[in-house]
Amino acid sequence: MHELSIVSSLIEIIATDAREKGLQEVTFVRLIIGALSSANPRAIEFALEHAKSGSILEGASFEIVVEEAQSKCVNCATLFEPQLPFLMCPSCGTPSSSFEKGREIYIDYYEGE
Amino acid sequence: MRVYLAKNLREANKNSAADNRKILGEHGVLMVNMMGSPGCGKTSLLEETLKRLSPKYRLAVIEGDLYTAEDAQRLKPWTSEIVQINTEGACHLEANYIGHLLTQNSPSLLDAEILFIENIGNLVCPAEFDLGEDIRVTLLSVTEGNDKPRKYPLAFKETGAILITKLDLLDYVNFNLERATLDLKIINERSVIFPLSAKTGEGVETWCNWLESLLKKKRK
Ligand SMILES: Nc1nc2c(ncn2[C@@H]2O[C@H](COP(=O)(O)OP(=O)(O)OP(=O)(O)O)[C@@H](O)[C@H]2O)c(=O)[nH]1
Ligand SMILES: [Mg+2]
Ligand SMILES: [Zn+2]
Repeated sequence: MHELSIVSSLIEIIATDAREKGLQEVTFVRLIIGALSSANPRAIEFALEHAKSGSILEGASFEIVVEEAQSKCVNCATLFEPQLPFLMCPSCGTPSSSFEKGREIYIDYYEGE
Repeated sequence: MRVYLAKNLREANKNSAADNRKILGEHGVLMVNMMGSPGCGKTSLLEETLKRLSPKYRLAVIEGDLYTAEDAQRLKPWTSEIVQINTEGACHLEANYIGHLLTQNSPSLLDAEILFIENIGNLVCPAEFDLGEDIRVTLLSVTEGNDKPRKYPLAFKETGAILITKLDLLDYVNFNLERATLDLKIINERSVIFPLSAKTGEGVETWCNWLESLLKKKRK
């Protein structure tokens, strides 16, 4: 269950940034979760609701967007939505491509005043 | 006001991992991050590996475990440089814990030539956290079944070596070694694969020789 460590780093990053900008409170956060990031959006949401209390994000609402995964074929450079486990390229059949998108979790933006 | 951050939430871990890599590089320490399911044979293989390599090299171990120090006890005969991390329920190790040990709590770990890390027994989460290792090793025991590489491909995709363990049990379980090897090659064509048994010692020498070659490359 590493959702908790993700959430505490989210709160720390936003709180630090908001304080630097002299904001009093954070009202909204848009978070992007890669479809293959091994983090569960519901668990993240749950963890956020608990972890935000007492922080500058206490009154914030969250939008969590799941980002589709994308791979690029190592052979023919086709971009495609990878199917685990083999990540087979749909146009030339080469397996084992790398990920372009969908492995990461990141903060898109937040709003505060 | 709206503030765009585009900030990766694993960036802090990536930065700590990069710091660790730098320190390990300066000291010429080869760090090996070992992961795999609970009970796949990580500690047993470490016992056999340390037994063979400790007469020749200075070895150290960081033992990740949820709550106990039992695995660390098992390795005591082979090296005194063992540090236990209890994560108290957390499912993986993070780079900043390792960095804290290297720079604050246990700097003598940097006197080692090879530093092994036994990660928490878990086939999902440890793969998401770079610790700054030179080589990542994923264990798969024949008792877990053929389907595990297909069910947990990310654990096998982003690793430098795959050890198929408990080979002595091959005749007792319906594990198809050829099929598993084929799947693994498709999932990760770059990884080397070592079938071995900590119980009989089969294949352990080959794995140890490979570690030695990595160490030589690093310290050249
Ligand atoms: N037959 C056989 N049994 C093995 C082998 N390696 C480990 N075992 C057994 O498998 C069980 C688990 O081994 P460990 O080495 O403790 O596994 P681990 O991966 O360190 O386990 P955790 O740290 O709890 O995740 C023990 O009962 C070992 O004796 C092997 O090569 N052959
Ligand atoms: Mg163990
Ligand atoms: Zn292709």
